[in-house]
Amino acid sequence: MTTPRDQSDQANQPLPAPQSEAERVRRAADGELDTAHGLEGDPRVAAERELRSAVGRVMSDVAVPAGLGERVAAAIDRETLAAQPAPNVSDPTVIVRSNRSFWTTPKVAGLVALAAAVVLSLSAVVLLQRDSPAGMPAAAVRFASREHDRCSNNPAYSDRKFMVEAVGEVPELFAGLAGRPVGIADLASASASGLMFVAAGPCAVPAPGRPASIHVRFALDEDPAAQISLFAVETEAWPVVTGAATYRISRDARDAAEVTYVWRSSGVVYFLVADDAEAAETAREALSTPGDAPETIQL
Amino acid sequence: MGPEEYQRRAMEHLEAVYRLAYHLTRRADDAEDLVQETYLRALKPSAVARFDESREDNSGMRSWLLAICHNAFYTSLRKKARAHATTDTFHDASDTEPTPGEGCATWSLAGLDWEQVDGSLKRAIDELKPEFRAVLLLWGVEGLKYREIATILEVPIGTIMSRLHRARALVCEALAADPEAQAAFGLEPGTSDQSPATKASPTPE
Repeated sequence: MTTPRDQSDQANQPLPAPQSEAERVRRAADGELDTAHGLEGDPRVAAERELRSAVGRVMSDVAVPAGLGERVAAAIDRETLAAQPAPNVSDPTVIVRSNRSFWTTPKVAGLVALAAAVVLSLSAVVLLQRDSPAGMPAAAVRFASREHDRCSNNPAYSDRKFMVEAVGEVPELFAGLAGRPVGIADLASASASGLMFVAAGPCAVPAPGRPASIHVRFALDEDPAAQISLFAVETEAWPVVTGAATYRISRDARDAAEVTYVWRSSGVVYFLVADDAEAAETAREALSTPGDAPETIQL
Repeated sequence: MGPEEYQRRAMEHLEAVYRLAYHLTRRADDAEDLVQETYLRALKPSAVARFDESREDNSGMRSWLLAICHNAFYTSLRKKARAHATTDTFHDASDTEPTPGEGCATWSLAGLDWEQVDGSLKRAIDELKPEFRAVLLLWGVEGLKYREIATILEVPIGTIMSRLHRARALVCEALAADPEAQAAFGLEPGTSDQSPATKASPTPE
């Protein structure tokens, strides 16, 4: 690929002088002439500009598909996660301590380092592919957390993403993405139980088979600054997430106060992300999640 | 610029990147894949490091992404056709010809209502080769200068001027042959074989 410096060189090429009157007209129309004497008001120049305008109008009539931004963001997150070492892999220095005099020789230490790097890389891949531990959707949980932060901190991004502003239209949005009606949680009732519906839009939660998923934003009635994200994914994946319990995900998050709940209901897996425990608990109760008390899972 | 800021600013140009991807591939699903590939390439640490500090303004970021998108498209084409064709398959062999000096078919259409022929114009553009569509897009929609287009497409400025002229000429010729456009522009019936180019007053070179 050409580097930016190569591109700079390209851009610094001198523009050759017009070789003909026709070229002069075109360049005058395009604003690529230093001086356009005699061409002011020339109908040929006007015609070239009209064509440019028409081409611009016709070719700009392309709408970005709903959810593309989220799909790209999710792909970037997956790449980023894959490049990071797995957080819960055994410390390779444990191996070194088992026989210090042997393992610390330079040659063996190099081999150990190489082996450790391979183990770390493979573990990162395994973590993503198997959603370990115990089959929990770890990649989706991390994505939900990042997407929650992204939407909280980037209003322009949120504006593009959240196209639905009425809670009653959310089932239609989800059904449109899934291609059939989907039994989604009763968001209207939740909105009357301490939550305030903000907006919703398509999302791209990483899941096997790229199923339909949406992102719904709430705020607390009592504290509109407390943002809550509910991700709904229509999938049969992650069978470890049963319909009988709600799981509270504990992990080494950047924001230790952030709380994530996961549960399944009627063929839909939900991820609830809130900035603090109180907001998360209010939302969990408003959404009537399954089970008596959440089970804590360490990722 | 930190990685998160870089990503945020890159995402601001999603629409422009998708437009180019769509006009290169002409398929919405292929365009989505190309956009994703573009961003994954652009956000690799090595690519971020290559992004020159001097290009940190917004237009620099857009050009950078469009260049990666264009590059990714042709890389993909080359991979698909490696066993059967060279890259010449995708570029007209006469791309580097000097800019033609003849007058343009456009000139006889001055003052006409172009909005009446949007459908015909779209069809004419769709018929062009990808390299012509790309240059028309960057010129007509993104409003870029020749230098910027040359930088993005990684070809000399002379080639851009040549492609742009030929793309315009091909579009106008296609419009002249299109019955809908003839009717909209009020060309006389029975003169469909006479393109506006031939009606234009030749300009002395």
